[in-house]
Amino acid sequence: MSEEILRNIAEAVLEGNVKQTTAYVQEAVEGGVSAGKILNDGLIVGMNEVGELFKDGEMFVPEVLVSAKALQGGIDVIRNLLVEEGVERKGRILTVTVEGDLHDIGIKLVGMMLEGAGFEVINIGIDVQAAQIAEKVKEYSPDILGMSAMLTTTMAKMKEVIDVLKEEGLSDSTKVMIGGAPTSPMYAEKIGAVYSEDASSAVEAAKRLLRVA
Amino acid sequence: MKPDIKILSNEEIRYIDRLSRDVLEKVGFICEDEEAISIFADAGARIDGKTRVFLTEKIINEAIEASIPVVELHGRCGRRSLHVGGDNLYFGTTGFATNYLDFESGEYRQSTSKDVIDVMKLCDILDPPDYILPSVGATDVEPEYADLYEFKAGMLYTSKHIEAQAKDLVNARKIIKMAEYIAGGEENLKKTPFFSFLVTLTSPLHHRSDSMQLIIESARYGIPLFVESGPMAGATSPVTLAETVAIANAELLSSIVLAKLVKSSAPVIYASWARVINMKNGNVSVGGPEFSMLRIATTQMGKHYNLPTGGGSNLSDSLALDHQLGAEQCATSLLPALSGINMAQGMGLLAGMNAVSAETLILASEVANYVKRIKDGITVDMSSEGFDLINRVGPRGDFISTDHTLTHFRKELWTRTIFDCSAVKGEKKHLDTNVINNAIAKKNKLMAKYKPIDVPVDAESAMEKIIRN
Repeated sequence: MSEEILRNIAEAVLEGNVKQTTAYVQEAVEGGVSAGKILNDGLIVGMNEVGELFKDGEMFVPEVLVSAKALQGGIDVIRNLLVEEGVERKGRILTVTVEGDLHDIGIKLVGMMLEGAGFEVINIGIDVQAAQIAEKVKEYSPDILGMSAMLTTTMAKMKEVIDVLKEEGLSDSTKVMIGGAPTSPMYAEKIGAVYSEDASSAVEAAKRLLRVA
Repeated sequence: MKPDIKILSNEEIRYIDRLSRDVLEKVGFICEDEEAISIFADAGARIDGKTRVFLTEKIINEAIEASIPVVELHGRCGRRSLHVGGDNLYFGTTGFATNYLDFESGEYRQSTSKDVIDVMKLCDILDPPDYILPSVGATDVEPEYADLYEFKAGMLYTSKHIEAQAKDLVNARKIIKMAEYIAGGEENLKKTPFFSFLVTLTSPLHHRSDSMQLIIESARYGIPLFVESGPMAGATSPVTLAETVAIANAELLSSIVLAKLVKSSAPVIYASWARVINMKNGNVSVGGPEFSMLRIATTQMGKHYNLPTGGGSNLSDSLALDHQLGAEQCATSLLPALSGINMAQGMGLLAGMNAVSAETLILASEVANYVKRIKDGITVDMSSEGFDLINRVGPRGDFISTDHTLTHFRKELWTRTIFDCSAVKGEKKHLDTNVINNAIAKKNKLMAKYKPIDVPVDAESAMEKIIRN
């Protein structure tokens, strides 16, 4: 029974069916399946399949978004249970769009994919100044800070953030990932960050950085 | 509306039409086939000497009046048939290159019957081609059987519509026999003929016996005819493009007259490979600007006679998988497509039709899909949905996560399969991801997915018997 319902949950995520996903998760909870199992062997399994299909060009951004919505709906059902069970996430990631930049579609997508891969993701918004970002890093102690910029003019703010993190002594405990149209591996290397070109490679980069599978 | 381009005005079309008719009535053409000559003569054509035929205005008009504007081409195994005519655009392959570019090993070599089969399988699973003219020549079998082995591959390895070439009447009849065997009899084949015959004409104004016989046989049987003329401007036709179109048109009209005299309901597609020669070396060129221009013009002429149209397209003179190949494939696909050509064929060929490669076919398919998207045009349905959506999302909203995007994006936005659109890579890494590598990967992926089609168990030996009989 538990195998079947977990497979159903994964399928519902893959299909991007929000209602179906929450219904199956509810059913699993009532059937006595642990929240950790629902998350890792149902929801995340489905989202991993989405990630693979996205990488292969078989699924597209709007479809990944509805799958992520379905996953989110499922997580909402078991959020309290996860805390009660003390289920460990793969790591905590703070995401943000840097000062002067209002674009957040990309970073949201990255966040959803990371969440789908088992990370805890906290988005702190758009147009956020370096000092504020550092404050949030202090507050949440994330394993990774993920920054996004869409414009060449705002990209420079990324370096500023990293400088502030260094000054505040936060750069050892929090690694930095960046992405967005004007960024590149060359720029990332220059400022001491890790670059990823899209949402699925961001998941791989985060896993590599935190040495998790 | 759908995009629509023209290169000839109505007055210019009338001039070319008049010139072609004058040629057919006053210059005449050589016809090397006795049966065809007697058919022309019975209809009132004047025969001078043994082989020179002069048509009359009346014969030409009657043939044009019998035009069938849409020809249905069938596939097999439940495939949807093609409705060739109107504004419908189909891309196909064309033959017969005798060199194969084995891209992964980097060598040009003579093409073999194994290449014929491999390319046929790839054509079956790749989309487009919408129909297939076997594009590879089997150089390892006896020349008198090569066309038969190519057709056999078409019967055994794909369910798409096959455009067949036959070197003479004997082979045409064998091809019909093979098709009847696959269809389970003559009656079945006549109901849904899943192949058509390609008829190639010789310029200038010189009808070979084999092509005349093929037209007569097909018209009688009811097999659709794809008749194409391919004068080379500056060599086998005047260097001026307008007069080259007139020569191509005269050759086509006289062939169509023959088909219609045999049977007025004969389905005919008006096609052309009118092209130019490169004056630097005398080689034929199918990648230059004139080729696309000639294709627009011949398409306009075919439409003028209310006939379905076809011709060479998606081609390049380049020897390599390079910028030139891409630019020429695109120009020679897009321009004919926008002029309303129905059957655009040439996918997979390179080196000016002398070579074929699986990778070129994959590239040509990507170009064809790109062009099909443009051809589909911008849908403006003028419903209130547009306002409602924008009102709902509002300023500073995002459209990417709306149901509207989810519902429409696959149809509205073209989906690339191999053309690159990835982010800038560091150092040399960007050189590792390019369109050619993507094409190779796609080829291998598709070939692994190929599934054998449904044919009788003894098909192989039965066909062999027909070929060798």
